[in-house]
Amino acid sequence: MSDGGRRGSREASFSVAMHNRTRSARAAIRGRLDTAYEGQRPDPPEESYLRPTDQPVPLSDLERFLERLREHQVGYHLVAGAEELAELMANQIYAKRGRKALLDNRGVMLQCRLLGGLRQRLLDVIVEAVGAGLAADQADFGITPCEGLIAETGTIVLAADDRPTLQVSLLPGRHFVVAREAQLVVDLATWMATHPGNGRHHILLSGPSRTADIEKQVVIGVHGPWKVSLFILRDGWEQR
Amino acid sequence: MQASIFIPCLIDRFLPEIGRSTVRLLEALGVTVSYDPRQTCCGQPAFNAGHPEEAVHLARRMLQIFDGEHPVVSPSGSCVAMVRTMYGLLDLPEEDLRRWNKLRANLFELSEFLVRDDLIGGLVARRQGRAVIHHSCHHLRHTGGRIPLLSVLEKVAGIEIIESPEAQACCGFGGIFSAKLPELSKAIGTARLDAMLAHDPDYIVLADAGCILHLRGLLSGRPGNAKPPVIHYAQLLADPDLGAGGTP
Amino acid sequence: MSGLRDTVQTKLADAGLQEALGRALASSNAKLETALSELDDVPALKDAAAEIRRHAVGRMWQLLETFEARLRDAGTTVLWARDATDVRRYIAEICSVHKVSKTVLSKTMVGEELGLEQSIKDAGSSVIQSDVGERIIQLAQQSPSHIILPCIHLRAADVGKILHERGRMPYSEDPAELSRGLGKSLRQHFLGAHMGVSGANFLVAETGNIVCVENEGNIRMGYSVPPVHVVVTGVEKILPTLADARLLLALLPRLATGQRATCYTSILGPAPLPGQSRYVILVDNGRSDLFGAGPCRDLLHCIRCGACLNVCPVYQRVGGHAYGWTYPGPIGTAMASMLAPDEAVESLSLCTLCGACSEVCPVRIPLDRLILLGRATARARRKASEVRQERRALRWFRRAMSGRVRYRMSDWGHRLGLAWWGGRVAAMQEKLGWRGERAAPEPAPQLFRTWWSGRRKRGDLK
Ligand code: SF4
Repeated sequence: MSDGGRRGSREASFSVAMHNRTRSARAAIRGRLDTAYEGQRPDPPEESYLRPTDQPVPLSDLERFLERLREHQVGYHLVAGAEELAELMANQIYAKRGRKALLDNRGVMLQCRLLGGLRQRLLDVIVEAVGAGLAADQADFGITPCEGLIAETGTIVLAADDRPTLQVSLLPGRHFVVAREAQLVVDLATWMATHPGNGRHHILLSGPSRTADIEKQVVIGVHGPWKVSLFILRDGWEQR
Repeated sequence: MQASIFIPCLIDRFLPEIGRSTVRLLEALGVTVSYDPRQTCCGQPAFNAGHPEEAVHLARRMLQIFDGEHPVVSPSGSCVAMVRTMYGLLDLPEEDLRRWNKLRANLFELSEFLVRDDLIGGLVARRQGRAVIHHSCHHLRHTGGRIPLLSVLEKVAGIEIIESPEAQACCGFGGIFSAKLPELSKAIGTARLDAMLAHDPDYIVLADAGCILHLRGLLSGRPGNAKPPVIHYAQLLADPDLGAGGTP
Repeated sequence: MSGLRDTVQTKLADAGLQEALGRALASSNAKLETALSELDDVPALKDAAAEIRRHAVGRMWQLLETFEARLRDAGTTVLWARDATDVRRYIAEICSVHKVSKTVLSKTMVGEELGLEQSIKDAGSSVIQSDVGERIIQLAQQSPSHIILPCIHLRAADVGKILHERGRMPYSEDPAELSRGLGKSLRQHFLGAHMGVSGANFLVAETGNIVCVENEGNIRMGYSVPPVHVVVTGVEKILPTLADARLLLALLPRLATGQRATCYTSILGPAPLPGQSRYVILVDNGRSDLFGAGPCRDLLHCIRCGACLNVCPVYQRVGGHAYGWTYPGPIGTAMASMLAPDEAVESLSLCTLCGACSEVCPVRIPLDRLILLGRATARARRKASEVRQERRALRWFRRAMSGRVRYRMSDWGHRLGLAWWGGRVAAMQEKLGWRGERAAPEPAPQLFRTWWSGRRKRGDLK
């Protein structure tokens, strides 16, 4: 109900003239577009679009995914367990002289106690979860979980429900993503079939921010992170 | 086999050697060729300039002349495309629509006709040197002429065929475009020509009359003497005036 | 000499433009080839994409109603706009309700079409274009010359000069330095903005999603940071389901930039983010005219990939500004002939009818044929004297072609003309550019038909 209340209050301040305007525009547009259409709805093909034989020896989904990541200039690490993950990530933050790291502390991040693991190893670095006061634009590392990995296009699926969380993967210069190997699916169709939209915001991430607006020359790192690294927890990581 | 040929106005007047080569080629393959001298123009110039009502007259004339039972073959992909596709956008009376539906199924671009039922099967022609291909746009895109053209050229022994990726780029002719924006037309054509001449070819092989006139014009406007002939592929197979070789 | 012919000559003589276009488009088209070669069956995929768009556009209204309901139920305000005036009013109202004085605007062609930047300014807000290319265009006070590469007409050195003079950045010719420098200076604008405005690539009826495709991250900034987010988009972007969007997403980035997927594809849910107000403005602005315009309805299937511009032999030479309308290139010319016939009168000539555009188009819009149709309808708006002259020539031509005897006579006439009025013919050829560097064809010594009948008489027919 809180949703409705908020909307109500805003609409109250939206003037009557505007309501009338949109209503009459709607009617006008409807009058011109609302015609019967007889055509059959086409069924989009469900299978992958990619040439299945693009490699002489067929690659496994994971190999293919990793190859795509390399092509998209996304770094990756295969890690066996939570300890190794925290160790590796801490080393990287340390090596890059990170000062502030912001965590979207959900799901797998909680399961492997990453926040504690990093704090323990990085005494002179501020490591915070979203909402604890560290603003995303102050952080030099943003660390998030993900919702899926797509082999066909080398894509990482991110999800978020609010602005502070969205900003973790956007404002810091480096973005670390934590994934489980089991999250890998062959293509977007498969991922969508297993993840009903449920109204969330999703981002399909296929590389660091880039532009080619000047002379079509690719430049990495414009508005979003210039470095994206994926940490993949291998199957069986819970036991380690 | 019998076939009726459609030799468009441009070829009849400016490039009759294409028509002659077409006849020779077809006859060498055992086709009995007939030619109706009433034929003139399919109406493309008027239609492309945005005057469909002028084009209608010529289209109707075309449909009445080619109302026979034999397949109709033409060495111009552009005119074939006009009849096959663009006539559909014209305001044709009922009886001509019926004729159009018949002709549409019965009209073939030369290379298309040659590879159909492998008519060209055992033919061997002979030439020497290097031939650079330029795919004429309408032949390429409207009559799907790339593969037929390559299969036809395969029959020419002793020649090296060069098909670079830009072979499918427009030469800048464009019919009325060439006269409305001549500087642009020439700039596009010159660039294509430069790219082709860089291969040091003995022949520049095209598939349509308009592009041939355009590129020939540009080539002859250039200084220098040693210029490769700009020809239709039918000539490469069957034009005796092109020097030694051709269909045996 | 016509105005267009002058414009074209200026463009051809502009060495900087030729260099910039040549470099950028060669790279675009090479990448396109590679990206498509990876797909299993491109023709089948394009067929499917075309079908999906045809279907979605055909029942656009029903889908839009569903989409609107999804968003409304989730708390997003949906506004309908007939034209730029409606949009202007809404923007003014939103700015005043939310006290907006700083806006970041992501590149949107619909926005260009509506003069959105100006509307926001008039509503009392500053406005910063946040896409790198579009920001350069804004600083240069120009208009974009390509639908996805706004400053394709500029070389790095030109950009360097503009950013140095107007953007207070140190001069450079390095695209990396320039782009990153702009990114840095834009960061503060994102952080301080009250409102982010963006377009959309697809609207999904079933689930109420808004799909935005980008590489830089400026669209993400626009909805992730400011408290107000406005989406301004054309009604034709509607699709039935997310699965349809998925199929189009296999083609759009490949055709647009040669990527198998763009860096960021945002799939926004129907609800605004907590603490944020979201408005979605659904714009008609001529689209319903196309809807009712017979074969021209196909133009609504366009997913704005820009590939038809990149492969166009004319666009490659003259760039987007020569067309004189918001949308350049084949898709622009075809749309303009319906939506802005006055502007299109001239630009319809900027086409050789080569058909490369229709061939590359992921949703199989027969662009060359629609341009041809446009030429016929545009006639009514051309200079009467010019049309009359053209018509007279064509009528003469038609008559000459309408009979065996007439045909012969016209041929003799042609030859006699060349012999007797050589000077006049030369002047005519000069005017039409068939002289000098492009020699005019000579009538052959013997017509094909003469050869044929001679051969027949000699009896060497089989
Ligand atoms: S018309 Fe086709 S090729 Fe051109 S921008 Fe639209 S979708 Fe792309």
